[in-house]
Amino acid sequence: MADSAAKLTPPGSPTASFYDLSDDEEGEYNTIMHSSSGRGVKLLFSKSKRATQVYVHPTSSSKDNIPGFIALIQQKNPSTDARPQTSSSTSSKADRATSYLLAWLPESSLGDAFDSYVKVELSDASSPPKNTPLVPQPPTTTSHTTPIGTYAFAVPVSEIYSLLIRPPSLGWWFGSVVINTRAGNSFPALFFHDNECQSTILQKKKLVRENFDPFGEDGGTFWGGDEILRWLKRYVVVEKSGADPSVYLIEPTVEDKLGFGGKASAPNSPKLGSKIAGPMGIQGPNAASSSSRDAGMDPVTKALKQARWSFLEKMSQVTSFTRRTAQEIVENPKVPPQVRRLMKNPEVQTLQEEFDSARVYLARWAMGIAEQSERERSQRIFTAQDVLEMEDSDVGAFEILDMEASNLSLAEKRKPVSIKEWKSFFDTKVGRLQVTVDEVKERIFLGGLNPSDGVRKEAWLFLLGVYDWDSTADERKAMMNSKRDEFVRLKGAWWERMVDGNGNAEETEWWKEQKGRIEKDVHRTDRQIPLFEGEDIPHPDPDSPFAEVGTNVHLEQMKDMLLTYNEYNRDLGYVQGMSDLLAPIYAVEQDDAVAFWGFVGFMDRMASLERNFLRDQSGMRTQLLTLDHLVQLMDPTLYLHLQSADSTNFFFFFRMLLVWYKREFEWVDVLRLWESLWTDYMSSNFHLFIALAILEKHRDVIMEHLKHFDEVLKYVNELSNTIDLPSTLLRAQALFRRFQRTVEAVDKRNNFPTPTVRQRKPAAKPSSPKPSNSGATSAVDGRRRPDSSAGIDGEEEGKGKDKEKVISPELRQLLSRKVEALDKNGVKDHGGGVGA
Amino acid sequence: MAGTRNYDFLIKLLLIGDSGVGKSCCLLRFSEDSFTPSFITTIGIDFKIRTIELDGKRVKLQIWDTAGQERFRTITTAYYRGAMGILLVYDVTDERSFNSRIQYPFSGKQADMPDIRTWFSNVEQHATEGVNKILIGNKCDWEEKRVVSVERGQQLADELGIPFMEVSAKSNINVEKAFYSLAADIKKRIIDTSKTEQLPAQGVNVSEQNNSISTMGGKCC
Repeated sequence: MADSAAKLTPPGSPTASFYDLSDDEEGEYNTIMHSSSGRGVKLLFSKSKRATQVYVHPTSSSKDNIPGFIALIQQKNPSTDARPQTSSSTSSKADRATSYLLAWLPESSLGDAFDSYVKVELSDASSPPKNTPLVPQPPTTTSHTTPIGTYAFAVPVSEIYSLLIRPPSLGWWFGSVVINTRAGNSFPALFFHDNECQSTILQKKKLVRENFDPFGEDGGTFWGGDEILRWLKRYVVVEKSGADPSVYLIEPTVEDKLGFGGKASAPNSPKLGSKIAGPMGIQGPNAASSSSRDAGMDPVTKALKQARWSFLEKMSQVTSFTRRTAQEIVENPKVPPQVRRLMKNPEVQTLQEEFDSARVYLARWAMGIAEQSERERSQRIFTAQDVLEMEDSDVGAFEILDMEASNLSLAEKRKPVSIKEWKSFFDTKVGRLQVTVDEVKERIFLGGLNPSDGVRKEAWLFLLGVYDWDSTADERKAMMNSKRDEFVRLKGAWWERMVDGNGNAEETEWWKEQKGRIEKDVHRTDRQIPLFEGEDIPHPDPDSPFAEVGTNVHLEQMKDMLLTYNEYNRDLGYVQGMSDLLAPIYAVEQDDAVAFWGFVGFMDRMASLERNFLRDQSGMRTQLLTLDHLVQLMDPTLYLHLQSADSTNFFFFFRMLLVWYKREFEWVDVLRLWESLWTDYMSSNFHLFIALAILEKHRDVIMEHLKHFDEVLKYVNELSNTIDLPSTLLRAQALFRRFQRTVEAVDKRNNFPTPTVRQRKPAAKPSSPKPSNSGATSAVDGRRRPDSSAGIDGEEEGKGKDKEKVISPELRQLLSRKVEALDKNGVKDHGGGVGA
Repeated sequence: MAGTRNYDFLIKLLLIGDSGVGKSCCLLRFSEDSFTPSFITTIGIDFKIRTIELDGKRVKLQIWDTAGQERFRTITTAYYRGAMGILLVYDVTDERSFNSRIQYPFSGKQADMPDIRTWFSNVEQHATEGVNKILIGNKCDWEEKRVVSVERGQQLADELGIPFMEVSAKSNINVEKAFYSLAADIKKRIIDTSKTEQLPAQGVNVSEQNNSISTMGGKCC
């Protein structure tokens, strides 16, 4: 155990040492009794704002939130009271950790000490105050046992295994901190209401003043949670987990570091199914939201799931990433008894099942490790050098994109296009494009558009085909005016029919049904986006099921636009997923008529090229089949594995392909991705290369761990919101280049065949650009699926093993940059929307 | 996976019904005991797991959730085959989800509004013979909006010859009961009547459909 001098050893900062030592010199601080408790502890840091900043949210209702203070408290180590020593250099931080308590105290429990907490909070937060006030010792605990109660706790820092720190972000109103103890317990999540917090506001101002850098260590906006980390780092070793960037390990052991160390991140998995009740401490029917409008989980649930996730990570660490099963863990004598005990706990067993299978879980774990090395390599900012390095990586064969078209370096090309640059593409006199369309598309494909300067508003209309690339400013203006008129006319048409009852009863009924369907979906589309969040106006239709909750003007516009689209394209009808496609366009354009025509442009390609929404699902089937061929050609080993796992139907990509990864990426990334895809710069089916890129990234993990369709489906479904867009885009580009070269190589070889006896039908067929329907549906010979082999070139030879490689028409189509529209008759042929 | 199972039986269930009737909400209530009023629409297919205890046996339920809109039926029917039990869900506040009298305006065909009868005949057509079914009327807490009475629900269930229950995912009424009762029926049908220790043979033909679940368990060892 540490002596008193040791525990006051400064953590490396001279200023800290000054304060600590000066305290020491003041003598036995614990002999100074606190007036009310008779025993005092030193209050080093505290955080709240009066009564409003740090909260426990026992329920999702804000009125139940408990305000209080989070505080770092120093106590005199009981075992070392009478042993003053001067030598401190040999003591470890871990020893000191026992004397510090991280506490959360409801404001109501503080009594006289309240003023001290406020005073400490508002002092310069970068170091403890010189005259550390003494406050009554809070009751020390190492586990959180009462599910719902007063919540007060003080944990010895030495007992803290890790902190789960969630900064505030879009859709998460408040940042939060969850304390996980070494014994496997978790305390209730502490939520930082920073907007109400005086000390955080002061700290932010100070940072801006001194450094012109209002960002915390990780580049994120400064918030209260950062400060907790800063406090702790002064006294103990705090290390960011390699497996989950939101987990910080306190005084990690060597094994901990092996399992969690480093700086990389793992896929977050807030969506893993799990019950709320469990060993992590908080439970109760109210923990889940009945009032939250967040489309995802309410923060409490989310934080809890995260906590449970990190708990499981802990368990997995003892498995050393092998596929050892839970059973083996229990029987393994090397596993510490406390972990073994935990594993036998029925609650924990339930928890394991919630991850569906240990395999899916371990797969995610392994992926976290793989991501670590990848991230370290690419460091998120891609320079030409990084791209060159990727050439040698597993993606392989990455080609530097053609840079001759302009003088920009590749790094420059990967910067977002600003409004200024956009305007420079057009001549100033008539506003006509003065560079080639390809140049513009290349810039947008590679760099995207600036998300905040308004350039998307204009540029998206070009990308979506509303504006002709060749138009002048005047022509565009005139065009938009007539489009506005047409929008009003279309809107009026259904309105009349539905509201005024013009038209037969059956038709009126159909429109009402469509309206109800649209309404249901609009009310559950992107409600976490501020634009669609409010419920501030009464519903125009008192009979609507949503009359009680209210609506907002943007939701109403969304409904009208979707109904108007029904009027515009009656053959298709409303299909689920359309609201997902419209929302970003509307959010960018913020004008219903303009957004409508942008949506029409998007639907033209989705309903025609991709044919995503046809009744017979032929478009979706074709895309899944094309993906099948693509994987066969590009990664046959993976393909064979998927085949053995009954997963070559690729159904787990259905959602991604139907709404273009809308559910897989964060909102901001979706906008970025879509504008790249709209350019058709490399391929009009580039979204399939995104799918391939996602699959390739996880290929090793899938092959190693996932053996069945349900496991693969669960794993892929839960990648949602864990996928890094920039690296995925890069990988997709590399894969496209490789695909292109592979096709060229196959064509070349087939055009100049080696004179072997076996190749009786050398040239021609595979290179024929217009394949017939009887052509190959298999990408590569010999790996063909048995049900799709009929009519393949060379089939008549009857000797399967020696046939030449064939590029299927589906694959060849991927080389095209053209969007070929299916006319309305085509839509009808495929069942359209009206069941013709 | 041998030796790692901590359940005695695996039962695969499927939720079907029109879009917006609350299939995902029922599943969320059952699997995580939570509710969110503005759930996102389900696109494609997903499943959740919950293990329950029936007659002293640990029964792992794998419950598949599908997109409701008729448009996606070609995808979702692929999942019927492996299911051992099917929950047909309608919304007691939405007549159309229960019984759509509406004919399609332009062609006379029914299209995007499959009611319970349509779902039922889909099940008969695509699911394994003898699959257990239950009729579920969701949102029964919302009395002021109710348009389908308990009696009509019961009547339809009787007509179809399947059990019936009204539930509320929001108010947590009967959701547990519905899943438990369906699971118990399945256990009775497949497990209890099975003389051998081989469960899966009767339940799901694993080899037949490439998307069925080959982890379908037998007895735990």
